[in-house]
Amino acid sequence: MPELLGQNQAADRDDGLVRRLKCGSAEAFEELLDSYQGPIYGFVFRLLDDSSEAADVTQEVFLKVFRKIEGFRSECSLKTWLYRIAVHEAANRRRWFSRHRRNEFSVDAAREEAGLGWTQLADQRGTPFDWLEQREQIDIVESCLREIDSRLRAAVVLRDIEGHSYNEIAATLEISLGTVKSRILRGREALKRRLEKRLRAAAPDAWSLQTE
Amino acid sequence: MNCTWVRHSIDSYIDGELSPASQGLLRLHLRFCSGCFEAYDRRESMTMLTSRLGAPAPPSELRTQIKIALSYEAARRGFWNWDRFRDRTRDMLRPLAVPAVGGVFSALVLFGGLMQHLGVMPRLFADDVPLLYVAQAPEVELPSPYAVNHDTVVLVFIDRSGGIYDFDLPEEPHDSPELRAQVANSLLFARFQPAMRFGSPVSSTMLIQFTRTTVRG
Repeated sequence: MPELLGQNQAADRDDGLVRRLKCGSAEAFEELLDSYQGPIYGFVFRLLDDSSEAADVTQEVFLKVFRKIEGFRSECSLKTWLYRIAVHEAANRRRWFSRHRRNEFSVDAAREEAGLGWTQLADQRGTPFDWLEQREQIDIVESCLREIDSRLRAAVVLRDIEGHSYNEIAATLEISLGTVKSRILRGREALKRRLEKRLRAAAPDAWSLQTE
Repeated sequence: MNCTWVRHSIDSYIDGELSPASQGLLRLHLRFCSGCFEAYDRRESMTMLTSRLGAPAPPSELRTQIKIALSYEAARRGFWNWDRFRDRTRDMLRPLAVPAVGGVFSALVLFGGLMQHLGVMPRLFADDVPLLYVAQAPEVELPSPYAVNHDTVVLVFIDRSGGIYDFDLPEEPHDSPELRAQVANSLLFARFQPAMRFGSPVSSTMLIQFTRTTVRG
């Protein structure tokens, strides 16, 4: 019941926010950025795997919201609408990326090839071994997530990381509920296969430790 | 209820998207099927691992970039409304707020101080000498014992000592020498109190009406 109450409050807040956005209130856009800039950036980053591209796409998402808010008919929630725009913009950017970015030179890759790498600042939380273990696990999961098909990845990210419901994912990706279930199932299967492979290669006992 | 259905429904079960009845059936199956329980356990571990990824922090300058892009877009579209007008007016007037409040406060203090003086002024006027005492008309001090045997009006010119230095008969354009002689005799023996202005005697004029009264003896 509290969760339902929280959802209703969030929906009421978003309704009020949409009304003020339609009036062109500057404070409303500030509030929109406060609430959704981080999640949208994180979602787009996982779809594109490029921080600068993710920042550009996030900016484009909010520009589209600004341009189209007057035509927003509240047929879906503001959150779903934002994520739907993000999916479209990320898909457009991925298509553009595949056509134009093949021959670009990456400074990061060049440094890594030269064995220079980047300086990492120490994190004071937990022991270094704990941090390293968690960091390695997270890096492996991130890496495996990047390897799976982008459509399956979008569904898995929306469900497992962004915490969207199946109905919200269906509305965001504009697919049926059955397709959502299928994509999540297939995405997790693909992720599981890659994870098992990578974790076993990295530490033979790691995966079994997770399941004990 | 078979293992195929359970394996297919594990994700929906973990995500809380199964109906309560199906959840109960799946839980029952997991209790007795070690293979399905292991699949469920692995899937749940992996989901937990994925959910721990969290959201990557956006670049610190992203918010500024978005706001700049929005402002350009707003300028391009000629976007203008009451809220923006209010915000701009408020930003524009904000530096003037403190001086304006100080000015109003100073004006109130000054006006309050002046009002004290203004409040005294009517009382000062009330204490003034009335106009009646400032200018006093001439008066007949001693009437003449000689009468004028005619109804007429005489304009008398009185000097500052109360003496008469001239007179005129405004209602008698063709005044007779006899009437003029009567008036002159009458005025010769009359005495006047001169007009006063601010306490000093001044020359003045006075109208005297003579009325003939017949008494039967």
